[in-house]
Amino acid sequence: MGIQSNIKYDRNISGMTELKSSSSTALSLIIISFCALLWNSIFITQYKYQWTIDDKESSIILLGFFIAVNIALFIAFCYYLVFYYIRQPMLKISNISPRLGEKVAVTWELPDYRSVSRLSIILEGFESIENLYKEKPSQSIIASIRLTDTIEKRDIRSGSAEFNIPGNSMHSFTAGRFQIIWHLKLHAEKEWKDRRIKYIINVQPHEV
Amino acid sequence: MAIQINIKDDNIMFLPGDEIEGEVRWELPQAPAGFVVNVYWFTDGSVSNIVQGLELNSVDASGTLPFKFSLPVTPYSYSGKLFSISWEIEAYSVSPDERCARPFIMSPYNTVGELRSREPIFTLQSSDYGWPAVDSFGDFS
Repeated sequence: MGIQSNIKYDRNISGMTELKSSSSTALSLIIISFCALLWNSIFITQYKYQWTIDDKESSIILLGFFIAVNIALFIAFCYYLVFYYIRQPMLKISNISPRLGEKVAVTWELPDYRSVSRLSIILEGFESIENLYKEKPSQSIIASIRLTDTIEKRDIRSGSAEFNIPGNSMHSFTAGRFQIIWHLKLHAEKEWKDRRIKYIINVQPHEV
Repeated sequence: MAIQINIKDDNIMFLPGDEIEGEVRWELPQAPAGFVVNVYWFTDGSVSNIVQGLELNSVDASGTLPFKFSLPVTPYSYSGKLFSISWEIEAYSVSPDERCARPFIMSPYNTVGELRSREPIFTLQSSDYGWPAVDSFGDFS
């Protein structure tokens, strides 16, 4: 049984709520800054010690390693800094907590649409379990609806789509390590770096 | 028989917000120190989340206890690829320790994943029960 999405490109839908991305560029910048501070502190302590015991060879190896890591951290910092200042795509939704089976409208606007060659937005529901010994949680998709997949600059710049949250699926759920998550996944294909942003939505159960 | 749970009409499929009604019968070698009836849900390997319960401090060695609990609206019974959410009603005695549990389904969907109304009430045998697995939702791609 497939799910049909009724896609429209009406650019004048009012009463919409702007969605916030679930990943934060500012947080990434803070983490990188903290890592750089920690790394430099460790290095200075070690380098002073090596210099004190007059181990010049070890000091040079250590210095090379120090510079390599610092260059990597600097590149990562610049990368996220550029992202921080580029205007983010704006995704708006008619209902941030829709019920299962409910009709929802989304609109999007990409300020940097000129550099985007292809845009796709997908509504995805998935199960997720945080593993005790693995960094990444295990995930399995339970529902997926493609809202748009376009290469037309006009439609990449801004557009809208209407769709129904699958009426025979599972509501958002969190209990310990177990989660049912619904999100809108925006993928903007670019020449030098694709942009992938996820916007979590809270899907409510059917009305009793 | 030690402890037995009888759900009214042998119903095992409930809609969110429904009432689950029935009785617990027990016949123990001696009067237990305590007797508990709980309705709860749980995910694989996790602790039970009790939503309602009855606790009796002094009961006879044998007896009957009627119960009527209102179910919440969420979470739905769920069976996915990675985990499931199950509902049960349990009754247990303390000293002597005996326990009985009856699984049931709390979902707005029937066995093929369609929304169902409050009427008619489903009365399936406990051996055939099941709720729609993720696969039955179909191919959404």
